[in-house]
Amino acid sequence: MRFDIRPRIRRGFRLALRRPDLTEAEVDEELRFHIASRIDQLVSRGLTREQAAAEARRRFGLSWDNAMARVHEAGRAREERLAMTERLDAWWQDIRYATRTLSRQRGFALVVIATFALGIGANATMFGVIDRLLLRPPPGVGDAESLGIVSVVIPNSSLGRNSNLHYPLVAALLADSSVFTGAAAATDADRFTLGRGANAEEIFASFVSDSYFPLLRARPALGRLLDHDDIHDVSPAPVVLSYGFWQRRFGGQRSAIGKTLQIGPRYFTVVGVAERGFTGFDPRRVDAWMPVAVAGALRGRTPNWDTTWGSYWINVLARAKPGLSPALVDAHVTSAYVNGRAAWLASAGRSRATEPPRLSLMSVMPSRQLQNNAEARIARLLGLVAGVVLLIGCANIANLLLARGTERRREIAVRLTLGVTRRRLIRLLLAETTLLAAIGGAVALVVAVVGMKLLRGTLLTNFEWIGGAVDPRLLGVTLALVAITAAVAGLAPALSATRPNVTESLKSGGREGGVRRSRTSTTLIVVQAALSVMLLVGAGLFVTSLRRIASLRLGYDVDRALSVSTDLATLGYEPKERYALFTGMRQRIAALPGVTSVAMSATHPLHGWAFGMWVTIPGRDSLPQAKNGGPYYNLVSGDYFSTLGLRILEGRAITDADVASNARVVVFSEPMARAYWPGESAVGRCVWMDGDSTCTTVIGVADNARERLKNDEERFLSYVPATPTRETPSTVLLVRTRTDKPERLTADIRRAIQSVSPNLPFVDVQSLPSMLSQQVRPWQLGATLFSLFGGLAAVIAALGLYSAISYRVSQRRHEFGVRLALGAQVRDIIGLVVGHGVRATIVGVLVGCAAAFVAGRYVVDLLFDTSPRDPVVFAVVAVLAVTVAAAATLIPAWRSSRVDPASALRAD
Amino acid sequence: MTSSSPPLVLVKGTLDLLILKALVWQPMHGFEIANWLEERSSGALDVDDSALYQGLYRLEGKELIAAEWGITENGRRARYYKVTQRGKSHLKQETATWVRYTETVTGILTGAQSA
Repeated sequence: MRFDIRPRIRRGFRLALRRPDLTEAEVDEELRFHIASRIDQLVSRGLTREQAAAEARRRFGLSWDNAMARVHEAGRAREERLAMTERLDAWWQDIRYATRTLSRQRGFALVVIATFALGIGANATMFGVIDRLLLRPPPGVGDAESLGIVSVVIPNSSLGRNSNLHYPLVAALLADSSVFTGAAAATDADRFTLGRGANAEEIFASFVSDSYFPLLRARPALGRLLDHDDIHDVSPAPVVLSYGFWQRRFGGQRSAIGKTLQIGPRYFTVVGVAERGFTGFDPRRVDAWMPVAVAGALRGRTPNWDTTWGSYWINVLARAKPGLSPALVDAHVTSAYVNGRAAWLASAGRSRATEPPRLSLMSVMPSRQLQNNAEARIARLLGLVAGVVLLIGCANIANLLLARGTERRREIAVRLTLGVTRRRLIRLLLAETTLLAAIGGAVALVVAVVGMKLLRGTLLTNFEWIGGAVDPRLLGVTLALVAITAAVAGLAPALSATRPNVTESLKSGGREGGVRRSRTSTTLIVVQAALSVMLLVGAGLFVTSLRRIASLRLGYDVDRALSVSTDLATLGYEPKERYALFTGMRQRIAALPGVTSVAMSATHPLHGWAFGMWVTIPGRDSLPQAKNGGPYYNLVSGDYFSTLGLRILEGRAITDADVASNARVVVFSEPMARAYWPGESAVGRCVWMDGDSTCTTVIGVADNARERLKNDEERFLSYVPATPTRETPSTVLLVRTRTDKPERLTADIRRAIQSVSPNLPFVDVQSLPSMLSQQVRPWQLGATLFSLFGGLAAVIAALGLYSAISYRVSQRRHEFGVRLALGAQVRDIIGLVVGHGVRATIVGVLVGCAAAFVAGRYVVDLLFDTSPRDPVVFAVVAVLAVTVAAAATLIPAWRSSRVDPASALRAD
Repeated sequence: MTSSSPPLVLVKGTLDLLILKALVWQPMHGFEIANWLEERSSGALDVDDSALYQGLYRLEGKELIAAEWGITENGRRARYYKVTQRGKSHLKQETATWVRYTETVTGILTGAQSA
């Protein structure tokens, strides 16, 4: 018997296992041998050759051909089975081998796994956010593709859509049945108090028209949704709960249907629960939907809310017939709006020459909205940023593998000479990278879960999140990222390491680094530096934006101030009684220790409500218009301006005496006064307010009070004394305190208010800084994550630079030894090493700055009052990058200078 | 190898066990295995030679036996089979099962008639 090299020995040397094949010819040969042996045997027992042959065939099987076919078939089956096990075996071998190799180099493995984990984790986290905010259609909405929201087209778009319009637009769109198949209205979800007293909680609820759920083709999870029967203001009114709220409040019990809820002052009957995840047309959290008919009662809307074209408060949604061009649809939306408003103005006996706005029916598909919510747009940008971080990580890993490949040249050369194919070796090296990426991916999932939890809980609280952080889509993306990164990071080094210059590698002492490899490594350093610089510039721009916001002059002072509101409107109190109650509250709160002053007003800049009014100047046909709508008005008590910290620029403020005497006085905002009487003083002028043709005297001009964090916001606003006889749409108390933590006074204020009247609803107390921070969120999101990712990128790149330089130094030990022996100074050696790293970095910084300079215009409208080419940011980042690079090269350089010439030369 | 009673038809699956048993002692080629089976059963088992080879390939596919070409005493090329480690433990296990099975069945079939 003759045996080849034993498989076990082959395995030991990582040689290809040579499985003995079984070809058809071999099967035939084996069977021929068998038959021949059988015939010989039978002949030796006395049979003739012919008899023996026949008997041998008979013994082989009943039908020769059939038997042969079966044996061959069995042979083929064996072949397939063995081939399969062999493939699996080979992969298993590779993985085991990779595990063993890597467990010997823990440091290397840890660095690579950590890089993969952070890179993939950052991407998975951002995917989770983007998927919810941008990629998926609004959950539970049927045919979201064809659903649109009517928005005012604002040139130089700002963050957020402007779609607060008028309710009668719904009917106007429905009348245009040649274009629109359906229309509905819904308000943005707003805060409401649920219940009373100690059990009261805050919920987000939205008013919707009867056609809303049918238009969205929403389905109930339980009970029914609101429909065309729910157009009247009945008591108790029907309410539909969101699935999440139903779970939280009622533990998902079916008995919730028919339960009574007190929302604000009104009682509601739960009639149904919306589908899981349904939040309407917008991804933000909604807990309950109420019929729009209740809105008048609940939010102090004027009784004609359903016919007025004067108040901007509700979103209008519509579906257009399929196949119509967007331009045509937009034209119809615009004309419905313009005509409807003109007719209303005419019927009210008013006409104004204003430039008609342009409206558009924008898709509710988040991916197609031009004016997404700011969070979504910043999330999209950050997704890109996370991708860049991963790219830097891949470059880093590739660089490490490249270095390692050079180190292992001898080992690889030995294998190649022993007959291992290059393909198999590449597969072996790729198995290592894949293993590292897979472990990194598993850790990345943990990173993603933690990251999303943090994001959901801190910067993205106003969205409805369904389910856990990890869903099949996220898992799929993570898996894909593992595969892609493993290929991207591993392929080039594997190809390079196995380049068949075997004999050369075996001959040389394994010292010469290989010019090509070091060039690839330098290129990777440059690319990493460039990408890091781009991210750091982005982080710098967002941080600058955030700083500018912090120092933005709002026109008033939010620190130490509180906003106190409670819904008395429909408790049955007459306006005069309400007024008396609020006046009582104002006095009690003012008496509290720690409170400086209290004012009563219909609204304030951060309250989120604005009320329109008419102003006419006797003798003038038309008045200039503000870019952002209006003019608006506010009803204020005395101390309003001082409590808010709003400066009176000219004239005087409204006092409690004005209120008491029912004085016909008004204070204008500075932009309004300037627009109406450019270059002249507004004080002392006579204006007609709200169609009245009696003089109201302008007694003062107040600073422009910003509602939104926008630099160019100029509000046309008039302040009128809040007298008991004036109908007010809402009432809020402003409190200025002496403490930096005004929230601490919340309990005292609640007690003071309850002492005015026992059965009052929940009192909402919020500090103005916290109300403002809602608006700062998008920039906080951008600044936080951009800084995080930018920092991560810089650390990864620095680590990459450090390891690449370390490796180079170890490769040139011999050379340095020679140089030192020949009299070179330590300084020269350090200079040589640091110089290389820093030079490469400087090239990278220049490339990165240039790229950031060009890319800047894509983020310009996400920044706040910051040029995307801010020279300070660029300079700081450049200096930072070079400093980090110098630091990262200094350690290996110092080590290189400590080479002992004698031992370095002896090493070979 | 004459026998008075007609040859036994093999119960399904037993051929594999018999082949493994044959190879436990030493590697053999197909013809040797066929002879081994005939001798051991004194010709009582009726196994087509083609069935034997199908069984060999089946066992090879399961990696219970392995094969390599070798040279016979007469200087001819033949495929030699040997039992793998897996094949040995498989044989041990299956033999135990077989014995238990036949003992039970035999016990029932030949046991006391009275209950």
